[in-house]
Amino acid sequence: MAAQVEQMKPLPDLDDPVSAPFWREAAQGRLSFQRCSVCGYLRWPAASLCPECWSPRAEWAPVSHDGEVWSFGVYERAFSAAFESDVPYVVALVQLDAGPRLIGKIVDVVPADVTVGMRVTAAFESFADDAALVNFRGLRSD
Amino acid sequence: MRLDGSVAIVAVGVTEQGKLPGRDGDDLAIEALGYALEEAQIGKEQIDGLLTCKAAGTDAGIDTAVGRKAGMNPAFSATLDYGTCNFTLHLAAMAIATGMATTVACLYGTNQKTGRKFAFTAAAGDDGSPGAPYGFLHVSGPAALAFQRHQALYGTTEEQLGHIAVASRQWAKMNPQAIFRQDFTLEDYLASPYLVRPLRRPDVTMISDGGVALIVTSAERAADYPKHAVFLLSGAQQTGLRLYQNDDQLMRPWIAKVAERVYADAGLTQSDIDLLYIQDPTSVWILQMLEWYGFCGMGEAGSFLETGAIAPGGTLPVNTNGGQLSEAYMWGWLHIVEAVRQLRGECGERQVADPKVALYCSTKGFEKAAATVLANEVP
Repeated sequence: MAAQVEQMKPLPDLDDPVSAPFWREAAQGRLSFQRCSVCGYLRWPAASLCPECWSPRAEWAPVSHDGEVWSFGVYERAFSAAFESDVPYVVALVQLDAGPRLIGKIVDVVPADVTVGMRVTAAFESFADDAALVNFRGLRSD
Repeated sequence: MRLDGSVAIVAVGVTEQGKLPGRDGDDLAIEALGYALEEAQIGKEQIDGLLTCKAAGTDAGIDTAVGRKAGMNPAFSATLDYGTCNFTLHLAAMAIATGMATTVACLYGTNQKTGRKFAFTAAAGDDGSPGAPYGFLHVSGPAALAFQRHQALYGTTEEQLGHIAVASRQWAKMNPQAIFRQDFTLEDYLASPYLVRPLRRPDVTMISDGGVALIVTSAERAADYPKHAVFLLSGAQQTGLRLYQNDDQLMRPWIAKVAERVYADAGLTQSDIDLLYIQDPTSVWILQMLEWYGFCGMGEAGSFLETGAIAPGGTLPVNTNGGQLSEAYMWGWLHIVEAVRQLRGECGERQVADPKVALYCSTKGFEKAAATVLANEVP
C-alpha cells in the first residue's frame, strides 16, 4: 500500500491537463510518459508539444520502472518546514532505462547505502485519491 | 564575439554590501550608478544606453521602472532576467558595436537579504521540473548531485572541495568590502554542518543586499575618461535550454563550447590568463569550470585545488574578491568589478602582481553559460 504524503508539501498541479496524467498513471502503479505519435520521443517533463518534432500529438505510454542512480544528495537540512520531519532524506536523479531522467526520493534505505550507479525501481507514494508521486527504492540482486 | 578591445569598461560603482534594511533594490542600483558616474566624471544625461538586471525573488531591476526613478531617457534600454553581469556586458558590447548606444550603464541592485525572501528556498531549477514535491529544494540540491557524481567518477574528496571555500576566505580577508572576513581553515570547513550531503554551508553563497554599476563605452571614447580603461577582448555564450532533456545536465558539458570560443576570439589560451573569476552560487561551479575552461584536465580539479593553486600566492588567482562565498552576493557583478580593479592595480594588499588578462566565467543555473576576456591594454 502506498504511503500518504502530508498535505502541506508542495504538490503537483492536478488541474494541469498536460501533466496530470503522469500522476494519475502513477496512482495506478504505472510509470508513463507522453510518447510522441509522430516521432516516438518520450517527453519529460510533460509538455504540450514534442520538443523534437513539435507535434502536439502523443499517447501516454507505460515504460519500465527500472533505472540507475545518476547521482544523489542527502538533505540534512529542510529548506521548507514541510520536509522537516523527513530529514535526513535522499533525493536522486534517476536515469531510467526507458530514457527520461527523473528526480525522486530514494525510500526504504539507509542514506549511507545509496551509491551512484545503484539499480532502482519506481516506488509510488500517493498524495491524493487518484494521484501518486514517483519515488525509487533499491532493486535487490539477491 | 571577437571584440579586440573595441569596447571598454571605464567606471565601476559599488554600494555598501550586507544587510541594508529598508533599502529598495532599484535605489541601490541607482546609488551605485551615482558612484560610477562620479568615477567617470560624467553626468547621467551622457548615458544613452541603460541595461538593468532583474533581481531574483524581488520586483527590482526593470529598465522602465529604473529609468523613471533615475530620471533618465536613454536612447536604448533593456532588461535581462538573469544575472552574473556577463550576459549584460555582452549586450552592452553589442549595443556599442552596432551603434545603438555609445555609453551604456549596466545596473544591478537588490534587497533580497532584508526584503523579500529570496527564491533559493524554492524548487531547485525553476524550470517546470517537478522536483519540489520530493523536497528537491535550494541550489545546494543540484550542486550536491553534481559534486557526488564528480566524486563517483573521479574520486574527488570533500576535503579537496573545501579548498575552494578556504581560498575564497583567504582572499576576502584582504578585501575591506567583503562581508565574511573571519579566519576559516580547512578544519573549520570539515567541521561545518552539511546542508545537502556532500555539500556544507560554506560551499553555498551567502545572500546579501547591495548595488553595482558599470559604465561601458567604445575604446575610442574610453581614452577621454579619467580612469585606466579595461578592454573586452572577447565574449562567448552557450545555452543548455533543453535542461532536463540534456544528457549530464548537472555537469553542463556544453560549457566547454564557451571556453573554446572565448579563447579563440581573444586569440589566446588558458596559459595567458592572469586572473580567473567564476560566479559561484556554490563551490561546485568553480570545480566544474576549472575543468571546462581547461585550467586542469577533466576530473582533475580536486588534485589541482589541493596544490593551493587558487589561493593567495598560488599559480592561478581565482575570485580575488572572495567571491559569493565570502565577499557578497551580487549575482556575479562584483566579480567583474574586482577584475576591473585588479587590472587597474587598485587592490592593495590582495593585488596580484602586474596582471594583464582576466577571464570571467558564469552560468545561469543549468541553462546558460557565458565568459568574457578582459585586459588592461588593447592587444
